[in-house]
Amino acid sequence: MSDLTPPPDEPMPDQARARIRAELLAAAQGDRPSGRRWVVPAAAAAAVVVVAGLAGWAMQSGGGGSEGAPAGASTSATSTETATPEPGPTEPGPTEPGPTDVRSIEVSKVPGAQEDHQVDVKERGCARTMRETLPGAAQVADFPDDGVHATSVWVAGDRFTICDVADGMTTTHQPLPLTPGPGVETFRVSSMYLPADGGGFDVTRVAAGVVPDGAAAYDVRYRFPDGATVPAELTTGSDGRTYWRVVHRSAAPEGSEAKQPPIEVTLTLSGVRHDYRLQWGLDTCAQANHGC
Amino acid sequence: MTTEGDERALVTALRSDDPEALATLFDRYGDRVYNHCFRATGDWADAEDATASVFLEVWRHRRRVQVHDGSALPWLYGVATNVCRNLTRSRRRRLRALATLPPPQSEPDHADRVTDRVGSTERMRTVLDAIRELPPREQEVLGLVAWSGLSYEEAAAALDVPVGTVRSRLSRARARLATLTSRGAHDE
Repeated sequence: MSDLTPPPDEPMPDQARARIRAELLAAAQGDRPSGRRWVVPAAAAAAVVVVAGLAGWAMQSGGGGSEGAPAGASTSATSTETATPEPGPTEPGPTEPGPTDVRSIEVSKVPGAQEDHQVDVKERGCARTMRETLPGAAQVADFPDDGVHATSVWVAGDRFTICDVADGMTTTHQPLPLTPGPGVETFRVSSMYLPADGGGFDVTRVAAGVVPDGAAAYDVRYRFPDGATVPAELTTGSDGRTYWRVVHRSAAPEGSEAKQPPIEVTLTLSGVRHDYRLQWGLDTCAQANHGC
Repeated sequence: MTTEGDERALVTALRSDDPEALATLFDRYGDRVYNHCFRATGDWADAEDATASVFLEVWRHRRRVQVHDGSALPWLYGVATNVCRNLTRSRRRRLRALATLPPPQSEPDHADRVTDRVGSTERMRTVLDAIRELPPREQEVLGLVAWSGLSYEEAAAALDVPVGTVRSRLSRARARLATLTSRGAHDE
């Protein structure tokens, strides 16, 4: 049994300690206000409404105290405009860049500045894993970290892959061509089993792809064995392409997953519907860096 | 030296979104998590990554931090065990492949510490290789109790299982290891 004695503890190298500590602080500080980002625009909007209201009140009440108010300004119009500061996330988004006309799926976010430092830490893990999955790949897009999953899209040459980080587990997908093929391989999912809070395991399925150039009304939906139908969410990459992603987490089946109904995919492309059924094992193990 | 009150206050601050509380927790337990992860992965670099992941997970789940007997450490070990379990799945195959390679040579101009690290890595891989035949749950209990020095109660809190389960898993692990060791001795 003496052979099973591990080596003695060692302190973490100072450099690593400092780096990790800095990353943690950055992640925590970046994360903390991010949950309350609405406060700033909401406060600004509220302030504008208050100012507009006060201006309107001042104008309606007449008097000589309205020197600051623009002559002829319609106070009711002003207040109506400013009272609705929300940009309307489900609008088609004429200001959103993107080569495709995508109406059926909500565009989640245009990636740009790395606001959340936690993502930086995750990206580093992705970059390391990417050296084996898709050497030379560069990150071109990410999907907003929903607190459970942080998914980024990586491209090298004419192929792409994704890196999904959840519960400390990094999953990369087998690279696929940037020009999506018509077959089921375009819609394969990765499967990741993680211990569930209440015991047993949860399984997370992740799929991602590229919206074809020039596609009009592109819609992808996955129907999972638990009955959930999950529409793809979209993001636009720095390379101008639009990428989609589907994530679904559910309790893992007790027995063989192959005894469940298959995962069904519905693609609607330019008004034409295509249906796919994923084969357990073959189409549900899209990951590249760990087993199923 | 920390007191129960310190730790509870720290956890309260963590739950209240205080980043400094996370940094303090890392300062306090970073080394223990780091070594726990090294013993789970057999790789210092992986242990560094895993340690960072563990504390990021702690931050993400800060509202759920649990204090056991005045210490957050058992819960922290539970998070570390989950993170390293996932990490080791993907690393296992790589380690198996590495085990077939000749041991890395220590370069004479490297610092002693680097040489020590190579030695500890080799040793840990040998140990992990030896316990690979144990079921993962038993490996985890062994790691927490025998290697990281947690009590049965703390290990139970870390793994969120009854104390009896920890005892039985450890007992089975020891019995299996005894069999494996004697079988190895006979084989030689």
